[in-house]
Amino acid sequence: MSFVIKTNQLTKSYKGKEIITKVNMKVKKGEIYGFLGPNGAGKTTIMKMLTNLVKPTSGEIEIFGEKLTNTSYEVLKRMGTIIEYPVFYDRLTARENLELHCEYMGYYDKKAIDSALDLVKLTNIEDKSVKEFSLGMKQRLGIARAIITKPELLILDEPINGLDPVGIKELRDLFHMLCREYGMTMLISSHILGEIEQIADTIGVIRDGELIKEVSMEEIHQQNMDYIELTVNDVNKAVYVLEEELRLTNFKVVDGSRFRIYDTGSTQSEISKTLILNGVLIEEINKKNHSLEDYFITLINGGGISA
Amino acid sequence: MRKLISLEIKKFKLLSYLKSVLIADIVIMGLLCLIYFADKSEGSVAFASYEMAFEAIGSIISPTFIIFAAVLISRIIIDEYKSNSIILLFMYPISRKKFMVAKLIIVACFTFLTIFVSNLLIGSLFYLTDSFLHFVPKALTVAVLKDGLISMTLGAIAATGLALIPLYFGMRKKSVPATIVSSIVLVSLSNSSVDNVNLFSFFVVSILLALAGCLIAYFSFRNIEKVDIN
Repeated sequence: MSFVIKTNQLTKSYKGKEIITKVNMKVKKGEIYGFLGPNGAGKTTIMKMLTNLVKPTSGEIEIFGEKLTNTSYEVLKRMGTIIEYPVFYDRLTARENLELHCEYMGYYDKKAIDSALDLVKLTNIEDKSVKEFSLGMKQRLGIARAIITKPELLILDEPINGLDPVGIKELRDLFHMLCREYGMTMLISSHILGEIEQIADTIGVIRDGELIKEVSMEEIHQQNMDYIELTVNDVNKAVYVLEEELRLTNFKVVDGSRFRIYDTGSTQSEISKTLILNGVLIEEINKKNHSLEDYFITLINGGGISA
Repeated sequence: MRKLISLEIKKFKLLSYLKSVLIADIVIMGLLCLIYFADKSEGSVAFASYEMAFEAIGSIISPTFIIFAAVLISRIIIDEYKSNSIILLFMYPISRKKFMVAKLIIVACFTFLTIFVSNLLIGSLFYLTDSFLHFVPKALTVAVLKDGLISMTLGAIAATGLALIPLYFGMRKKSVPATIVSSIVLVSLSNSSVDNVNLFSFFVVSILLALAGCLIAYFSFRNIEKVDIN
């Protein structure tokens, strides 16, 4: 497996206070990596370290298999980025900004500017200076700028900030398209769970400067099946009855009187009816849907996530 | 490097500054007229010789464009930090040092050239006017002209060095006011001490100032590759 980004015990402290602690993150080639965490958790700082703006106090960063040093400039050619919020030269027009970007990146394909503006659906902006743009338009322009040179790695910090729901949907499709058709690897940060959930292949959860979980979406979905939880007077009898009558097999006994049914074959009413008819008393029956949100909120201890 | 410089000029639309330079020159000429008429109304002669006249012209032009340079530093260096576009700049595959050197070259060339050209322009116009009106009692000799040219060049070099010094004060807290105020303070200090100097001491002073400017620039950006950009 080849990794595009790999950090090893990455640590950053400001004035003796550790704000990023021993982060080991791995971003696979061609995947969309969602960086999730509350505001101020250190997402931007890590992204700044990956783009060489902020220098690590200790630990290492490998990008495209090469160690990042103070003078690693070539590697920046292969990246497209938005850090914090998209910054432009306000007095210039959108096109002038993009032209400038291409010049600095050493990229000379005149058609690329138009196609990038098309991809983010920014039109009729020819004579406007960027100063007059709304946040959403700046965000789109920022993404256009990041993808214009067709980089192998996109690092986008909160790219959906300031966009309306339709815009968010469009961008989500765009990200999927870029990932599929150009094979771009993406690192996207957000504090909005619902968004990350729909875009990412792998999620890294960061809290107080520590990467507390790195997990693929596939794994999460496996872990989070729906189940029915029952509290009855006699668990053994209940299990026996359900096996015999409804042919259910996937149980988990939680404690003396509670157990869970993971089979999806029977409905809640069917189960309760069968049990009562066979003389098992039900004290409580619940259908549980363990959502992704619960999963992450437990991880982050309920702090600061909005979905 | 030439490309970086031309991109900077394009980015900040620096060519529009030439218009401002022209306006400044016109104002300076107006000021000279004012001096002439003010002295005349008091019955004295404003410009007794061409040496005096050149000195007067130089002592108005240099401070003007040193402060102008501080404005330029604010615009292309300090503002880049203030508006966070430095983040953008430092994510390009070009070394930070090169960016800064390009910017400093712009400031230095701008200061030297505007001062030099303005001196030539206003000096020639002064001579032209005098050849019609004859208000300077002593005629212009080749020796005076030669001395004038040399001290003008040295003055421009000194001013260029001086113009880079506010960079140090501006970069400490990335502050535009600090840059401009320090430049005004420097100008008033240096102008009050420069009278009755001979050419040799003038030469030494200008070389020293030029060196000081270069050192300041070096120290302001010595660690640029290592610092965090927040």
